[in-house]
Amino acid sequence: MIAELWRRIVYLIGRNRFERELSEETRFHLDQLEASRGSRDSARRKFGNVTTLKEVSREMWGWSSIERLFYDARFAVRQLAAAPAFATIAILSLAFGIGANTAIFGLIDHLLLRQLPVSHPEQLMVIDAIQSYPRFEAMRERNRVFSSIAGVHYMPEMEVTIDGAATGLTSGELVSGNYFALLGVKASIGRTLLTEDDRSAESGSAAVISDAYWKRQFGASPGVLGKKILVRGRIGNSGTSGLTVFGKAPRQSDGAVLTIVGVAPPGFFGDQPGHYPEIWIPITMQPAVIPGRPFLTAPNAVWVSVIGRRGPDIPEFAARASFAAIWRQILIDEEGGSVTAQRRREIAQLNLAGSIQSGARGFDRIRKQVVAPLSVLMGVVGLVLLIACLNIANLLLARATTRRHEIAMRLSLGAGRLRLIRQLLTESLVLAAAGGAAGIAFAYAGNQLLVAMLRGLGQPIALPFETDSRTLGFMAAISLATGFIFGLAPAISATRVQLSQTLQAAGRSASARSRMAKALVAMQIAVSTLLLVGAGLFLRTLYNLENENVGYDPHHLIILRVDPIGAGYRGDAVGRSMETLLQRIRVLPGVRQATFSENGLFSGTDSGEDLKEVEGYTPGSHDDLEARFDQIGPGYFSSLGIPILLGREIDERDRPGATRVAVINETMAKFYFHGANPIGGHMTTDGVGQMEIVGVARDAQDHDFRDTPARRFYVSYFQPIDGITTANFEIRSAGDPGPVMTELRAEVRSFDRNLPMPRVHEVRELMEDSLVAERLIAWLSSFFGPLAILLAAIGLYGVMSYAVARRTREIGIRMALGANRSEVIAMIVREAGLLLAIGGAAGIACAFVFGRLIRSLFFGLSAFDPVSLIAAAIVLTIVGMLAGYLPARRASKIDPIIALRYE
Amino acid sequence: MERERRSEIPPGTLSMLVLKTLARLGPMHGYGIAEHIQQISDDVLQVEEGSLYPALQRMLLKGWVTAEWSQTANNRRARYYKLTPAGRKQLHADISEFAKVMGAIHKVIQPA
Repeated sequence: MIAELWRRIVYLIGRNRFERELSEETRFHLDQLEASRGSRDSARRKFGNVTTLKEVSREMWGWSSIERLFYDARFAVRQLAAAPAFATIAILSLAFGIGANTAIFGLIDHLLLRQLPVSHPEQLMVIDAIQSYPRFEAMRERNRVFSSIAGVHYMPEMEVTIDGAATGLTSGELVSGNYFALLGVKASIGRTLLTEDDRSAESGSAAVISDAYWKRQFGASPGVLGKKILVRGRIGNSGTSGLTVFGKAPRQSDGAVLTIVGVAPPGFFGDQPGHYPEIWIPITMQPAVIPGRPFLTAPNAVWVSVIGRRGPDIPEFAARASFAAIWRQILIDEEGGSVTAQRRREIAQLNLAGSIQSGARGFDRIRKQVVAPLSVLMGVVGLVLLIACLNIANLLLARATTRRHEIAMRLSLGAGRLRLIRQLLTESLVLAAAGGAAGIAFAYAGNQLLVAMLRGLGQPIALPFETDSRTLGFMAAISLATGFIFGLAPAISATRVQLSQTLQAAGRSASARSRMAKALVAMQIAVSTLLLVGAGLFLRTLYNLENENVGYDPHHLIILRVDPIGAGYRGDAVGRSMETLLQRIRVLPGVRQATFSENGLFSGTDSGEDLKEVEGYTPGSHDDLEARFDQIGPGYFSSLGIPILLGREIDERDRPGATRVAVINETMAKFYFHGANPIGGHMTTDGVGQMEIVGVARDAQDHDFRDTPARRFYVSYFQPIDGITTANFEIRSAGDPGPVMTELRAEVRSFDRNLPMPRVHEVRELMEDSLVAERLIAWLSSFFGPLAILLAAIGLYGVMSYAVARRTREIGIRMALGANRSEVIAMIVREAGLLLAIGGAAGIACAFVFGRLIRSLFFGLSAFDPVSLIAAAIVLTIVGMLAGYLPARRASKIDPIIALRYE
Repeated sequence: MERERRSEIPPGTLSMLVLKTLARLGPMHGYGIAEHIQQISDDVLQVEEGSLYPALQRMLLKGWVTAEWSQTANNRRARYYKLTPAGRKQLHADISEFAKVMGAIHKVIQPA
């Protein structure tokens, strides 16, 4: 076979010589025949058709089909070069569409589809719920299902000091010692973490760094091994709130001193796409990395994500069921000897097996956040590409009309129709290929833009643009598909030619082509209507969210997050010190009002509690006693401007030792008291006993725009019902928050040098960050919507102009018979209006169907939002009528005398 | 008009005849091959030139023969085809296959 291929290649190279030789051989044969028969003619007859012989031989050597493709492609390039305007428009719009699709696909592939780059990712399983470390230890101890099991905790922000110099914030992950072995990841230099590293608390001060960090921070020097770094994790929104902090002697600590023992291989990014730790640290180093928070022994601190690898012979469902049984037993044992029958039933009903999922693509917290917005984005750019295809199909159709004479000529000279279709398709594919190639640049730019826009999506997402085989494969596939989509119909239509008619005259019977063009334009109008309506819905959703009344004025409001626990404060000293800090903040220039609370606003942490009892209320189910809460400083409501509807707010009276009090929100008051006055009533928690309700506050949105207000209560920071873990100061500045924020940082540093660097944000900024996905969709759809309608309008204009040109004679006759200009205009505009109406109606129907599918993404409106629909209809009508009116006006200016002489 | 009584060469057997001719004569040009087959078969088998040359090309492609230009007896340049070991193997395979098929056909058509 290979020898045969080689001979073919040799033939291809020496083709001219080959043909010469064949001719000479033929001549020799003819001469011999002539000599024996005496006549040249007779010899020729005997020999047969020399040309056929040559062609058959050429065919035999087997490059003909490829050669033909090459000739077709070369011809196509020449054809396109002869129409540079058409080619440029087509290639640019394709490049744009293909680029946008590839950019979004790259993101989807990375975040949603791709498996982790580790060995046998399909064997990995993850538990979709974070656990306490003691429970993780129990799972590891009793595990008989997985061949190994590891706990991890991602930290988005760690302060890293190298050679005494602070290097800013770096992400990291606390992992079990067997983590790398479990994933089957080997160090590129040095070693990975080992089981010995996490034997006991704070014993294994080793660290493995990522390839990117190694290159960026250490210039890829092999001398990095053995280097010591100081790492201090920041307490973040990691599910550790609502946690009692033990520990008697506050320990002054700057963090953990770790020795770099190895560098992870390039391409390894951890266990969750979207999270890219740069430093891996043994999980038992946690108390040193996050000082003051001994999570390893705390049964109520949930922070460990669990990943396991099942043996290749254990099916997924079996692993799930067996591990769920182990987990269930652990939950029962955690209750101690006193497990009630009720609790036992509750545990039996928990869907534990459902929380154990395939880990082939890693943990999926980010995936869940982005799957809906990314799907919508993919849909939007898909529609844009579809419109580009329809547009090009229409242009090709128009070109086919101008080339009708050429095509008819070829057909009459004996070209097969299939051969011609293939040739025209080749032209489309050449266009698509050029568009795809140019699309790489658009894809790159689009990817950069997307990453920049997504950066605020909860955690930083830093995706490199990967021109890998998958992305390029996708790009090639959609280029090919688009080539067929826009090329096939015009090619078929163009070759459907009545030979005699076309060759005789320019031909008047182009009604088939015109029907197809109209169908294409109607489709374009439909798709762009869909996009327009979508843009309206998403813009209005964004507007509704941004203007949602959160219950307080977010302008000039600053959140300053301080970590007193990290600095070693314990017990009542936490509240006292934070109150002192509040006094100092209140007198800073530019500060109008200030207060503090544990969870802050839009800060990513919230607390919940199962109440034991609410006076006078009989719960229907366990869930009825759930409520969220916050622990707040004095004057919280008046500082933020949240009205107290009944009773009083929490103030200076509410100190340790005084009666425990609570303020409840409107929703909670309605739920438990049904309009009765709750003031003076009592509620009870397991931890601290009874609290007296002293006030009712108006509902406020503390953390999310979309949530319907939850039942929420507030207690004094000085009468905590749960261990205080942090303090968020809410500060309203008189003017520009910028300078005040700088002052605040300095104030915290001068207040206590041991306090970790505080986080300072404007609430507006935090709110906007929580709307990144919504904003991205709204922006992109409102960018693509008008673009789509513009393309559709151009299409409509083209079709109507063509119709007018074709009917010049008819219009001339009408006018000669007495039709006036306005009648002619009305006739043409009516035709355009019909297309608009059909396309628009189809588009609105589609918008309604799709809108219902994704209605969870809307806010404050339904998929059948009249404002968006009417706005889209108005835009459509104006643009469409303009596109129809211009050709109509041209038609009305037809001079009957010239028109009748026309052609 | 010149009419000759001739029989079609059964499809698929031409390359076997060519290979056998080359095995018997040694290197030979296309005309010589055609003449030889015609003579040996007492003018029954007429080789169509339109099939001969494509067949030769195919054998070149398959590597059963090689071609070389050299002089004929009366000093003309002609392309001589020569059997390769692969061609010889192919010839044996063809012949045994042909014999098998002929034997079978014979069995079918012989009088009961």
